[in-house]
Amino acid sequence: MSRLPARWFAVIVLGGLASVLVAAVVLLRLGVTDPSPPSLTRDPNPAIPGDLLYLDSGSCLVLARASGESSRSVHCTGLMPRRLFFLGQQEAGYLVSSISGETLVVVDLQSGAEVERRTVGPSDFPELLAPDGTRVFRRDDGRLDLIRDGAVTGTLSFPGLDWAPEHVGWSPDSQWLAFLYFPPRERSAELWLVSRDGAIRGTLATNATGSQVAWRIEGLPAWPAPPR
Amino acid sequence: MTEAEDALRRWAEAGLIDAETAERIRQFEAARRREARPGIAIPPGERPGLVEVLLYLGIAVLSVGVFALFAQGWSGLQSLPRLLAVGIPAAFALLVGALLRTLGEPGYRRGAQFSWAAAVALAAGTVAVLLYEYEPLGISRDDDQAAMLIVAGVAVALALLLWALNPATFQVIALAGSLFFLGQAIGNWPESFSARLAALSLVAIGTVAILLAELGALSPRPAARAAFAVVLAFGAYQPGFRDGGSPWELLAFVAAAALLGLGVYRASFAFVLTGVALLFIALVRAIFQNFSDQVGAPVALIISGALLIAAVLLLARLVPALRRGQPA
Repeated sequence: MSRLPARWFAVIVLGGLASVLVAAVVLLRLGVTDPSPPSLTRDPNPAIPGDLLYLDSGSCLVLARASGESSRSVHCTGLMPRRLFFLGQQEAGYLVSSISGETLVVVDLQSGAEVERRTVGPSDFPELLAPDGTRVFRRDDGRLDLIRDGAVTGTLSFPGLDWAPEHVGWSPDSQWLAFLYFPPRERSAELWLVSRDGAIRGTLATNATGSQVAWRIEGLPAWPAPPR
Repeated sequence: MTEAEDALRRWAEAGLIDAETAERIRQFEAARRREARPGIAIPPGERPGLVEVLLYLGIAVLSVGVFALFAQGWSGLQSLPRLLAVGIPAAFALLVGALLRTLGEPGYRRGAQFSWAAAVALAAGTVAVLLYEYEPLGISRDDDQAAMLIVAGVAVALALLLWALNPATFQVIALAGSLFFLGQAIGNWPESFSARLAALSLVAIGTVAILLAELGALSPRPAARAAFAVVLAFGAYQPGFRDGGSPWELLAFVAAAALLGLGVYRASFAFVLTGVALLFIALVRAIFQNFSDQVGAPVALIISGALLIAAVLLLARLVPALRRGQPA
């Protein structure tokens, strides 16, 4: 049995080492990498085209320039819509489920007022396909394969993450993808925009929610296409 | 009857030696054997008795009961009963350990060690339940990272305190286990689990603890050597074969070489055994991870088998020297 001073010396050394290690990681964030891309609201990127419609953490529709130059809250839904759509230049819509089926709520983008509600036919959105038919395949190693016509046309990786963020939309030109990243410690979900080749990335919002975004680019049909 | 005893009896019957000389030879040989292999001679009270075994069984059953509760009736319990279901056994294990320490008998002292080691795990479980059920200090039940770090910190603090009060084998094991848990909690802090952070923490903890053991500050030394050599080896192995290859793979080989060298230098079988095991596992894993595509699985298996034989031969070469307490 060791002498008392030597024993307490060991307690101080081991306890001190444990404290230093914890402080270095928690307070100084040594060895901790932030997987989030640069903020587009702080540093807009004009290379990312078009407008996005997404839900914020208060379930409000937000219309934002994809480049990050501007954004504004349009309309608070009070619930969690299943799907978002651009309906022309002035209107947007979201799908809510009801006993009678799917209801499309149409909202004026300028005033934010609800324009109409109409029942639409059963809609089927089995997966988030790109306009050109590309689909995203989630791999076990945290990467995503982009598959078109049965061939892998690209792979996206997300350094610092074991599990890729949730894919929530495509741009109408099929060149950009939107992802929702759910960080730990109860921070709100982040909306990431990533180019198809993975070279350009940005964080458009840090208070997003939902399961899908709508995207429009001038001169192209908005994506996803609205229900009939 | 041993061969030596047989010879003594034969020589006494033939009149070559008298009974007194035969007895002196017996005592001389017995003393020599005790010196050569001190573990063979078991002083009275050091052999585990029935009461001690029943004590271990009781503590183990109590601990298993708590974990069985998690598996079966946990969802039907309210917050307070959940907390008490873990907290009371933790307090009971602490109390039993303190009581047994005062009894003085070697068997009871070992029971105290075991009880306090179980108390560390049960106390950690109590803190985890407290965090989950009551979300104190604004720590959300969804915040797994913070909760794991706090639980590990409490376990380390308690294990250190109990070891300081009773520096014994089970307390060293509890301390190594709680520090290992802390290393994993540190690795779990970033957004995604970082095997490198966990590994560097474990290597730092293992290295410092081994140094303390060799300086005589962390006792009992055999238990400290074995427990923290395993912590160091696991830490050195963890990043290279999880986060994707070299140069982090090299850490395992550096640690294995260091453990082997230290084992030979300090005549420690625990270091050598851990070093050989780490070297073997790291080599086999490296071959399968990096070369199995080129050489094929059968060749990789053949190489692995050869490495296993080499590891056994290395141990066979080193063990006699270590038993003599000399470098090979």
